[in-house]
Amino acid sequence: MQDLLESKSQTELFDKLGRYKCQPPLQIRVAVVGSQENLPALAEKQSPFPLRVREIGDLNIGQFNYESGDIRLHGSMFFCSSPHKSISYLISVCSAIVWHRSILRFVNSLYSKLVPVFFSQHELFGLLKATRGIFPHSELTIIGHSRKQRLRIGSRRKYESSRTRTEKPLEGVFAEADEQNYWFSSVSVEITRAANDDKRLPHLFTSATLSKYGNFFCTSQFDRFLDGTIDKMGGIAEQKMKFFSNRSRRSTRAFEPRPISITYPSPEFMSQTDTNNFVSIMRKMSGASCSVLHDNPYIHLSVVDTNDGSAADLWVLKNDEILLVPQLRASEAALKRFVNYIFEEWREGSVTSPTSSDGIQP
Amino acid sequence: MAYNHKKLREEIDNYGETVWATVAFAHECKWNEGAKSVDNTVKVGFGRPMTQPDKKEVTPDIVIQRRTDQGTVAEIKHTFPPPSEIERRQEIFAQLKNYDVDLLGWWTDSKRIQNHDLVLLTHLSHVTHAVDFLTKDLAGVEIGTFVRNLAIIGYYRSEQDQLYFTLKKEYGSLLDSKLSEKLRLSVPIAVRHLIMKRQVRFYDSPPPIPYTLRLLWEQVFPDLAQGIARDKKKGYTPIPVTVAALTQTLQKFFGYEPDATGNRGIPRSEWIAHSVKVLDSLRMAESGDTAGSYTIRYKAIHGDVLERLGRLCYDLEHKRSKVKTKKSKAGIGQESFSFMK
Repeated sequence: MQDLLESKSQTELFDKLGRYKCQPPLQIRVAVVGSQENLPALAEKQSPFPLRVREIGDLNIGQFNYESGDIRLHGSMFFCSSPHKSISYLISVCSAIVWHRSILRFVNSLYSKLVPVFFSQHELFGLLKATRGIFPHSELTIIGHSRKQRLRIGSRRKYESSRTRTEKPLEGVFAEADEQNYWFSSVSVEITRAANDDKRLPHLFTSATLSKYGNFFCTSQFDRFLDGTIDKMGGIAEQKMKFFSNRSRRSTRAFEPRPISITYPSPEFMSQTDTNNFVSIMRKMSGASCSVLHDNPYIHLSVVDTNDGSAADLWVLKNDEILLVPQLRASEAALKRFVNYIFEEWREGSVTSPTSSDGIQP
Repeated sequence: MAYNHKKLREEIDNYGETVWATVAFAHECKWNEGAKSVDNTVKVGFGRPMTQPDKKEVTPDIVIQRRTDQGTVAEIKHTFPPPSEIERRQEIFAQLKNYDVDLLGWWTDSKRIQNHDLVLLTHLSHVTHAVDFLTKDLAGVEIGTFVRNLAIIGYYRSEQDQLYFTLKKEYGSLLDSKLSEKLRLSVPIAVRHLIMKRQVRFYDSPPPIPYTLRLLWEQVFPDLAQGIARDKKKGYTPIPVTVAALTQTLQKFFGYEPDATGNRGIPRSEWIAHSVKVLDSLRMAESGDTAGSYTIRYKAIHGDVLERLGRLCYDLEHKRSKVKTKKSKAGIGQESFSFMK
């Protein structure tokens, strides 16, 4: 670990991480995040816990050591640039406890200046297929996943969630999820290599976990994952940042709105019950206010992110489309959060920009 | 009586539908069928002051100049009063009669126009009542006799593959025979189209106070709060505002800006002044040193902002009417201040 802290540049850090092999509970953990601001400067100013950031060449290293309740949390995080302009990698070699209680806490506290990443089920599947591609002559097996399934409206709990340990091929696991209508919040894989002869079991090469919230963990082979998986995550994140940015009405010509359309291949709003269910879901969104302006027969809601004041009008005027119309203030972080909430709580759809051609598919 | 949020939502819905009617009618008058695009040479004024020959000023809801020699003056009444309210019914046609003169204030050098027609827009559920009243009750009566063409157009929302807003002429004709026939056959406009182009939320009539307050609280104040530190002791972000600046913002983003041609701008500053005064009464704002200046005590409202503001406004009104009753019993005069329409 000390070796990593002595890195003089990002390239040197990545080289060292490429050779690094973690022993449990440690893992190389990466958060892919978007920001238009100087992240290290922002971090020092707004970190929820004491954080010392030092700059060494093109590398910024943040170190922390503080007491939280009955435990002492200490560690470091590396602020690394990515090939994508507004995307950074926050890297830490740490345990799950430090990751959740320090790093993720830090990421959340910088919202909305630090834009979290969300991947759709389709994107997650694509990333895992890309991961398989970087290890030829090897086999990628799903060894576990955290999944969520929406419970019927009116239940006290919103989801049925479970952590499953398994040993199944990638395609099979996603086909099963599709069939049973659940989605993954994270998927863990093992990369194994076949033994030279039939008598021996294939040997474990490396393992990794990819989450729909833009987090990636691995135990080794960081350099290969960086090129094959993490940079691809960064690419999708960049594309989304671009899609969701500059949608505030203040930034458009004649203050015209730049709406976001979520479309579905089949009708989603067929009855008043569907409408009521959807409105009830939107009203429960945390960190947001939701005013119901109309809910029969069409839907018109006003959704405001209470963290940063971003606002958008939400319309359902067709039975297969949800239209988000950003208003005066509309950060990419908030718009992305609204869309992701709809994807998680209602259903994933195709996101396009109906006034321009910069559409993206989930 | 307890607060009735459904009632407020209905009022707001009616207001919103009326706004769509003004936008849809103006859009239809600007639409160039041949080019399949909006003709920006067509002039439109909402709440534009016009002058009668006797120098009296009138402000029709919509004034449209399609050509330099042809215009339209329209009045919109979402609800046409029931038969029991004859006076209110007569007032509507008397108002239209006021526009049946050579009005001054058009976008021409002389401010005059060769000819213009008159339009009454009302919800489709009331349109037959309006037509019947004009053709039967006002037959031969001065306020029911028009020199200029008068058309009565109904509007309604309808759902097919998507939500449409439809205009349908039920009586009379317009100077432009093609437009007149088109409206007779009915013109459905996709609401999607109406809301994607502009975000008009006002027409020339004040909305219920919570409607304006919600727009300010949800969409204007968070934007103004950027860069202002939250006062941790007081628990809110103090946002300095002026009625003039707020009016300008709402006009720019949700209404119509005043211009050099005579359009006054919507919403009017009086409505905004009134709304901010209500915030002051609710202790959600405090008045500043100069007239029209306030400091908004901004904090995010969780849940349904419209409902919260509606309830607060209702409680305030309720409290005031109680005080008024007590004072009137005691013989003390009290200026009435009604904001819950």
